[in-house]
Amino acid sequence: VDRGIVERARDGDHAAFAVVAEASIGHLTAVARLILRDEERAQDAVQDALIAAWKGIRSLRDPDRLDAWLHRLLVRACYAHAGRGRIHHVTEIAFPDGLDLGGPDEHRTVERRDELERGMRRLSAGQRAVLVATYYLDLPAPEAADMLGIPVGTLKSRLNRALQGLRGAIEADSRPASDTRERYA
Amino acid sequence: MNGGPDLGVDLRDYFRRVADPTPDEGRLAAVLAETAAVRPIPSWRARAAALAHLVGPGWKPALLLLAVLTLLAAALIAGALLLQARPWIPGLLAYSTNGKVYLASDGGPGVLAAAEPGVDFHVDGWSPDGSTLLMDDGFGIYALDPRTLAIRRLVAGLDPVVSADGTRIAFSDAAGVAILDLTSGQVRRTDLDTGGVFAWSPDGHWLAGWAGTRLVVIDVATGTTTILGAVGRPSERGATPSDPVYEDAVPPSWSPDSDRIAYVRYACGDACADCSGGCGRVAVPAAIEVVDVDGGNAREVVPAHLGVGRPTWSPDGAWIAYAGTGRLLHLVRPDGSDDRTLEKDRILELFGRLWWSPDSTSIVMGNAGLPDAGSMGDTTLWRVFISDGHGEVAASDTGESWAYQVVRAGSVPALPAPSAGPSDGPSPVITEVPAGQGNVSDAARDWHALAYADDCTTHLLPLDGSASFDRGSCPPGWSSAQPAPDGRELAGIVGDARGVPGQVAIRDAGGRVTVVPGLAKVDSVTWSPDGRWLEAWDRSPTSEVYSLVRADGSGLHGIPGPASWSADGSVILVSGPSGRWFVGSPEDPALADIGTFPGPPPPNTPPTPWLSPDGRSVAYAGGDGNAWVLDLATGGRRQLTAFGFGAVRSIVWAPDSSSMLVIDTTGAWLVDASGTRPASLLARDATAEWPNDPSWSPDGAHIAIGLNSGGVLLVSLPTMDAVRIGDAGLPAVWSADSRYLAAVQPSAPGPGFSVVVVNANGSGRHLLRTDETPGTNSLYPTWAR
Repeated sequence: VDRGIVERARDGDHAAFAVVAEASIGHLTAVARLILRDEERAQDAVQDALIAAWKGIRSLRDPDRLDAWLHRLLVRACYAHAGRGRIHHVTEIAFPDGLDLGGPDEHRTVERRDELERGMRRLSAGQRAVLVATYYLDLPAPEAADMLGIPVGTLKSRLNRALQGLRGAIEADSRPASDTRERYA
Repeated sequence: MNGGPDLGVDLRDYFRRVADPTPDEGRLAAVLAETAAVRPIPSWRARAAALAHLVGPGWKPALLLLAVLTLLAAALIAGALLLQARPWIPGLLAYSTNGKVYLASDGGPGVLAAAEPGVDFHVDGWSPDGSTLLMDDGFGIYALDPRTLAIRRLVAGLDPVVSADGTRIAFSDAAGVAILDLTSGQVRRTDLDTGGVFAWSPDGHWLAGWAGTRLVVIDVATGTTTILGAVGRPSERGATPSDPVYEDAVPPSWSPDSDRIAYVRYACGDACADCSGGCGRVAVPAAIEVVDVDGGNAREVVPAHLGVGRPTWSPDGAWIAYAGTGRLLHLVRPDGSDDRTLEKDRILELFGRLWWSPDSTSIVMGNAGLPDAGSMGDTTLWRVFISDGHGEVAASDTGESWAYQVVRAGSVPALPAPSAGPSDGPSPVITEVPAGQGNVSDAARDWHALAYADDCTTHLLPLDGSASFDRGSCPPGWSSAQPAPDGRELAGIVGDARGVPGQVAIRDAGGRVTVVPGLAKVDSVTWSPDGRWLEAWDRSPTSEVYSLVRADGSGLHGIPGPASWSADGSVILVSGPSGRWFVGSPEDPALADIGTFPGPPPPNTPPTPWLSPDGRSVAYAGGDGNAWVLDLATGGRRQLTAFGFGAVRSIVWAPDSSSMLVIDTTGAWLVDASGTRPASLLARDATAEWPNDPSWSPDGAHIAIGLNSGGVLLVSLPTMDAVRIGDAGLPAVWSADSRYLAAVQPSAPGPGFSVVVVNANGSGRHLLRTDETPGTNSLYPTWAR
């Protein structure tokens, strides 16, 4: 988004904010979906983040930092909505249509993505947020830490734990079921 | 395929492929509509800039000096206020954060009042006299005595609301809304069908809430329901009105004289018949209306705007406070006049319900805050004075729920001294009170829950059918989780310092993880029947290593093979690699070698021994295809079956060790340990698959046998009456009190999975369903305690 537009929005120009919101909502929605794995909550989080952005936009010091600021608002909204799940109502977000399952390499890739899909479901929203900041948004560690509201050192340890958790989930899925029970059958 | 070193590369590819930036239609419009109605919050920086612009650049040093002096003055004032130590909120405040409940009295510090490992408590409200705090954990309602911190479980349900006289609570459950009489324990159903959005009239005569899309009042004494009119309200959209954080899920509000009701009317009620699909939380304009208790004089007091909600009548009847557009705090007279905002700059996002002080001079409300000051926006409670709209911070970091109550002067109970931290808090005693609410089958009337470990998290699936919830989470790299027999602890495999999996770890019910020292390369762990020991197994091709270790990590020693356990865990029988058997105590590494298996030689591998629950006998399949039993004390053996051709597949002892169930190629047989003639329990015909996974109820009165052709056969002894539970999968598990049998439903449609629960005689079928994705161990639930 053009810096001038952001500055106008910061000055209270709602039309300029509309441009900012329209330009950002798709990207924010993608991030929220990856973090929350729940369509309805992801939409709610994006909506909350954008409303919070308008109300607090005058606290945005550097217009060039708009994306980072929006990411932070979104992560906070995602955390809030993830924590609202006292009762499980999970709407699975499926793979997009149109995946090419042609050759063996592609098949292997699809199989791998399926593993990751199942593994990601087993992580917490916080763990997914760390992975999304690092591997989807490709943010450097300081910026990822800023987005998540944590120190850089904490980011690194959380990233390590998230990757370990993902590996563990994938390995657990690959194990044959009930191997211990079969011993006595 | 495993995690692999290229996980980061794969994650980038995965995210790139699955990320979907398509926004939901209408969300942008909803955002713009709501934001158009409010102005951005002015920042101190912006104000300073504006002031500097007014006074000109030459005055900047003076302006800086002025700012410093202002800050000093503010600090002095704040210090003076702190020295006064006056109570900012008179009366009692309870709040929950991270599943723990804290109490504060007269503005004092929060005291940890309830913290049960794995239980996520949520504060619901106080009794009128402040003697009882009502809270729930997502599927059960509890009463907490603030003086003793004792907790009593009242009933299965959610969102309790206590009557003005404190004798009854209204609550919601899967079947709708019910009323529990706290003196008699009786539960009565109502016509209300939505949880969390109902309210007692101050005189205790009425209960107001929703039935479908209609606002209704119920005469509590007679049960008569009066429909006040069809109105709109948000419909199903994933979250439900019973979810207390669903922002529109607020009850109607009664006038103090119990004659009128203020409520939210959603525009979608006019626009569509059933509101399905299109009634989002913020996207739907809402108005506030007031109606007489007989349905007359309905009138709009706040016109429809986006985000309007939470009407709350002041105790003196003069005002209705509500959340206006932009989630700002508003006041309006009950006749719709004098609408005003109490918004101040620091009150950014109204969060949760509104609570009036008894003198109607102030309102306690939550503020989520913005995450621009180094925090992610902790919830803060504010006391906002209606005289001028100024607010005072009443409590910080109050989490996701709170309840505020002012009691009569002098009757505020003295709370215990503040604890040093959550871990030092008192342990509440949870007392079971049979509910008998009758909303579900007989199988769901008690405090029972099924636990299953999903390689990561222990989940509890409570029998009241309300929901599942998680008990703790997993440490990094956790896999192959096995729940303890009581469903509280969890054993699993974790990685070592280099990330190589193979160490055994135990996560207790409080979420603390202990790595068992001295074990490596372990492939799986199993619990002893008494939950005191873990059996670790490394099944690498080159060496099979079996070990025993206590659940506290002590007593590690090797055993020569897999163990069969007595019911009390005091005796093990180990089948060694050379076909020799060893018997002894798990406490003693020196097991007695009792030789090779006694009986006809096996055709292939040594037979599996089945140790009797009393640890005195061993049943096994002989090489002749028959079942045999060995007396460990005398060495005597006895042939139990004489079919010759039927290879024994499994033997399951009765809990009292007097008999056993033998499954062979011909079917299932009930065999007395003394060797009397076997009784046919289930004959296998030419087409049926094997019966398998038999299990005795702990009291020995019933047997459940799985049928691969589908379902579970439930046999009552000794009448041999049988009931087939057609949609139950395997294995079926008995509750410790032998009252219920549970099994995962193997092919339930849709996402998630279901568990079928029946009474021991097969009656009272009840289906528990969770939307969670089933994992490997979801198919092996155990009963929690």
